[in-house]
Amino acid sequence: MSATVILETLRRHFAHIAYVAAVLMLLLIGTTMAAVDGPAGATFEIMKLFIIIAGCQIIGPEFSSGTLQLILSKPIHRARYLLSRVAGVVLALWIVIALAYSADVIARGIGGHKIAWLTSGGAATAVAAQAMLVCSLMALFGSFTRSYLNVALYIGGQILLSMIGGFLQIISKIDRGAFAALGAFLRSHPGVISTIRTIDRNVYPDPPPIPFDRNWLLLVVSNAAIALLLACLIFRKREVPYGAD
Amino acid sequence: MSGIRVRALTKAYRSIGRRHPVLHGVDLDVQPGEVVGLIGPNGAGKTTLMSCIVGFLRPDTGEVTVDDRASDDLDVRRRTGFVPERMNFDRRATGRAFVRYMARLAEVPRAGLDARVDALLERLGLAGAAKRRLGQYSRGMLQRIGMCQALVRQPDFLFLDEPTSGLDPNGVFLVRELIAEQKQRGAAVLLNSHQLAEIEKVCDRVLFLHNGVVARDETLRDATRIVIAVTLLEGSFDPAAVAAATGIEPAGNVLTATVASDEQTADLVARIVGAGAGVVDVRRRTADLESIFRGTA
Repeated sequence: MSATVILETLRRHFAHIAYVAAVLMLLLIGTTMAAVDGPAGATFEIMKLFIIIAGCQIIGPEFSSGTLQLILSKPIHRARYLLSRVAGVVLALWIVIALAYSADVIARGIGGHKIAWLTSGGAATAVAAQAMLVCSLMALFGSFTRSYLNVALYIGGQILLSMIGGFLQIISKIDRGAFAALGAFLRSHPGVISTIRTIDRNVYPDPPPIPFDRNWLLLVVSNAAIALLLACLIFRKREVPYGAD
Repeated sequence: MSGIRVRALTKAYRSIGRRHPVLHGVDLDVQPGEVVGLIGPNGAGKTTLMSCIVGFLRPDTGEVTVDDRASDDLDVRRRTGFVPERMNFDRRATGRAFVRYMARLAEVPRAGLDARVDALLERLGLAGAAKRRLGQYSRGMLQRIGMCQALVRQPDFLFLDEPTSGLDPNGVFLVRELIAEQKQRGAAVLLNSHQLAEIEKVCDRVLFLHNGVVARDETLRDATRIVIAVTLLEGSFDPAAVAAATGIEPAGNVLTATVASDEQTADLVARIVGAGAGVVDVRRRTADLESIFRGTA
């Protein structure tokens, strides 16, 4: 990892009006929810959109603007640069999560409400892990696309996987008509549907059923590591013609 | 230190079902202390060639080495400076922060880093704008800051893509000076430019890239070779007599010759005068890039 790149990534976030505005908005929502004793950890649900917006900027836009070519003319290994960029964005997101968590605790304390340490802390940890996974996936999708296509792949993939999973589930129940043969095939090969559902669960995991679920955290972190490994392998070989889009 | 070496380089771009060849076997050498210009019409493959040499693109076949190593070798990168045609970076970063960041990436030691950055900004005439955001910079200022980041570690290999585009005359003079300084230091400089006059002023050699091959390799400056143009007084001479005395046929009233020293120039002029011609002017000149460009393109 390169501390220089991580710090520069953080600087870019802190100097970005959209980042500052989003942080203030999240803090405002979190504080208000806590002040009225709303459900603990609700702010973190809103954060998912923020994570996608921050994550999609990891590499694609740098590629398209020509910034990446300037960077790669310097003595920094491509994989090191990519990992540092991901680390910088994840850190920027973790700072927001920490601030939101602190705001929630402080506002509940001031309002005299019960502080749900476990629920709120669990939700913060889960969203922090999800931030890591989303950024890793954005880096992976950005390693072979340009501009903001990575976010299109991420959201498109999520929609497509759930649609295909649901569609095959329905077909598997059909035992007559045009889809009878396909239905029979899916019933005799349950692995097809379960594979699609497993991919869906791994790439787009739902929040853990219990706070600080170790298995869930392990799943998310290991999937993020695999995504990063693939991203580095692809990015290492990628051609970077210079000039903006 | 070896220079930049390219052998039999071919490169094609691929899109769905199509292959578009751009470079068809380019050979090129840039020695340390040499400034080589790359010119050619649009689509000739100049940018692709430079991208392959800098290591942004992978050649299909052929070999690219910089100091006998692959151009994307990190040690080579440490000694490489690159100025893109258009500078693109976070517009919210200040000029100084940008150069500082690039200096850190270039592994300039922390001790003396700030002094080095400030000295370069001063040298490029950007000291007053160092705290301004890049978004507020003009095109010329961005070119200058691009030059700053490329020179921050005194590179041995300098790649410049249209470094003077968008620059005012003072900026052009400055870039010219900087290139001369790099040459003096012993850096190998490859300059991609459409500005023939500029190429003529700063380059030792120029390569004409046309249809993906080096169509001509023209030496502009050589310690052993001086091109002179002798302007003869119209009506004062018999072209055949001048040609017989010098061995060179005058073109109109101008006789262009290649000599190795000032003594040879004096001898040539004496022979012209001896043939009965009046001499109006003797000028040292480099190759006429414009006519060569027209002929090649």
